[in-house]
Amino acid sequence: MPDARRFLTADERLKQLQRDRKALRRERMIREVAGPVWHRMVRVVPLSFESQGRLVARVLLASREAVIEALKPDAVFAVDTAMRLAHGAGFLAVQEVQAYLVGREPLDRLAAAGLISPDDYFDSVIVRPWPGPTRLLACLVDELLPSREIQGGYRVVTRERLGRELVGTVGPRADLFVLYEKVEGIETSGAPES
Amino acid sequence: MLVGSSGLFGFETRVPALTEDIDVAAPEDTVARHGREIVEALQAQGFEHQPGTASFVGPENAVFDLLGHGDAEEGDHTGGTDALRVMVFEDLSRLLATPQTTMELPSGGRALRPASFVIVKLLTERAHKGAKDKLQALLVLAERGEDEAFEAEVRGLLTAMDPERLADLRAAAQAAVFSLQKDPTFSDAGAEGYASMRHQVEVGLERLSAILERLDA
Repeated sequence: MPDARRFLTADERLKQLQRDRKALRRERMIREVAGPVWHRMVRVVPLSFESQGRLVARVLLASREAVIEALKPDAVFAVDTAMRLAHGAGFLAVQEVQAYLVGREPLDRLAAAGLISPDDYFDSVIVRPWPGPTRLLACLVDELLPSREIQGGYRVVTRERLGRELVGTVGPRADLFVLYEKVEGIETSGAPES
Repeated sequence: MLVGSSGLFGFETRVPALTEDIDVAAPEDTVARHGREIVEALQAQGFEHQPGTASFVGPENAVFDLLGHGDAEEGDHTGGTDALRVMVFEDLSRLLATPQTTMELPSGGRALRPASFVIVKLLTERAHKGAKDKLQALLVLAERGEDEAFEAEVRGLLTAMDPERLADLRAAAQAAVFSLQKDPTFSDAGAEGYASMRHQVEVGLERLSAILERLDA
């Protein structure tokens, strides 16, 4: 049977549209408050870290720094970890480890060294509003992604990709996007005001 | 005029409409003058009029929805008479005011051209309907990315829009891609079937961004 909710009168449709327009006005206000950065941020095609391959979560059994160091030869660090390694500041509140890896061998090696749990952890949600152990979030890919080498010899995602990963992780958050632009030294003078 | 998601039935595309409902826009003054005759004609074809609405349920529960188009300067409003009252959308009215935005269907009637379909869907504000409209638009953009004439039409329609609506459109398209990426099961209202098309949707957003960048240049 067709859904009875479909059959709205024209007046009900208009009211629904007016509610939707109200939501739009709220979004415009947020845009106005954010200023030019909003217009730059909205040009970014979001990139979902977890969708680039197979996402595996492991609980850290050692310090975050030790795990990053052990992954150094194998990983291209991504998302918040990439930004922290490259610039000393990240955009997520919880400091975990996000990295692209080819195959599971590095995971087995770190597990054997007692740095991470030997088993996958069930919760691989990147931004989780609930508590939980500190994790390594490894996205297993067929081929490592384009990267840049930074001080210390770590490989992190490219500048452009980091911006896309940021928006793909937290959505259009002007406060965080402006931090990304600042630490990456992105020239912003050419942004349209719209 | 075939509009809404059923606009996808009006041109060659592999993008599924994910609906069996048919949305048809008629000139507002026609609805006002011939509302009763329209209702009777549809009833004669087996469509049951849902009282007080512009919806008709046909055999096998196919739903036929009528809406109006008219003077865009009047904004969003309702039109028609008690016999048949329809919703008239400003954006759709503005677009349909240009005859080149539609095309004749081989079986009679008219439908939105693919570029017009994309613009209408990108402009559709239906928070309660989630990302479905935007995803459809992005999928059509991705599918026709190599078609220069199509791209020129999209660009022409975007050029005519005011900057605030362009910003709305950009933001809504990005939000649709984000919502699809963040939810692996993608339980969006009526758009679940698009979850497997994530890559194509991203391609569509890249194409839209490229078109908008050229407008800005």
